[in-house]
Amino acid sequence: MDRLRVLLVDDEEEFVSSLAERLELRMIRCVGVTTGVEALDLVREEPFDVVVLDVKMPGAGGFEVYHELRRLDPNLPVVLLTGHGSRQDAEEGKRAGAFDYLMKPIDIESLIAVLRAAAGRDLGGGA
Amino acid sequence: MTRANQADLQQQRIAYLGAVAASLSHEINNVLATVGELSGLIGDLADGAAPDARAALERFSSIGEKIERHVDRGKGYVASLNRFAHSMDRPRTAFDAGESVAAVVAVCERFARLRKLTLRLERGAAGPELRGSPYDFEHLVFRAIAAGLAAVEGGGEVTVVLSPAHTGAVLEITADGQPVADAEQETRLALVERLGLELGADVGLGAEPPAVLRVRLALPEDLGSPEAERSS
Repeated sequence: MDRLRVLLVDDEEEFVSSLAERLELRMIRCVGVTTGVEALDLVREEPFDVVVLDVKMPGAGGFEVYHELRRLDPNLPVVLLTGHGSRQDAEEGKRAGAFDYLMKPIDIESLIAVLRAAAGRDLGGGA
Repeated sequence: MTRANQADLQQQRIAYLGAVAASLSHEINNVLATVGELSGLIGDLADGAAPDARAALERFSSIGEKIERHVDRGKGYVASLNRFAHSMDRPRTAFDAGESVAAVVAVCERFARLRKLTLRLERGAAGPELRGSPYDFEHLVFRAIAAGLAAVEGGGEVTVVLSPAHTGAVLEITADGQPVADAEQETRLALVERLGLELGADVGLGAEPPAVLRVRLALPEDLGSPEAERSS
């Protein structure tokens, strides 16, 4: 089975790079970007199984990016990342069709469980 | 001032503290999330490393340095949060206006970043010293910067300049860039004017081409105190 392909979008650069590396160590292919514009460009160029998206980001905010992602691919599951202050926003995002949301700081095993559920399959690639 | 106006002003003063606490706690949460992932990565790498792997040790050391940097960043946010919490301890005291403005600018940097704006501060090494409520002064500075940030589109620049004056200090906030049509801007500017007048400042507001917005606050050395007025 192909490895799960995850797009991680968060403006905290070292959060993105370290989490992406941790997912890679678990045989999940993860591409990390720090802006919504990069995320949208990537989704137009290559297929992903799940997008993990920070709700609060500079420029095009998380929700703006979320709605554009839905427009580009209504079947692409999106998991929202949020801090405590944005929990209500994330709840609204879930009601608007996001697969789920997770609170930062995240627990990697919980993230993987949500990714697995969002993709609708067991993790492949030798994991 | 009418009772309704007083209640509205009090609500704005509390909302300001809420905005500061929300901004700083959001940043602290980001620091914790990043430190959590970096330390998790150390654990992951340690699990997979050969016992004598020199490369893994070097990697641990590099990640450790990143953690240290983020912990320092977190300490700065906690210190700011603590500083703001204590700014309301004494309704009237002598304080360094430069330090106050720098602290507010630091908080507003997140709002600027979210709107893709550059926020710059120009001030001397220390002072000027003012007397009054640091909380009310910082609230005024916060609202004036917020009006500046709301005035221009992403890519624009907001400059905050604090200068000493023989009667106190002058604070100028200038927004340069593409103007934004925002129905709430009038309300923001009215609040800046009201807060400025409460502190006894001469307030100048408006567009001064090429600047989209210039806020000029000529502040007396002894700031008026809304607290004192309310209790009198």
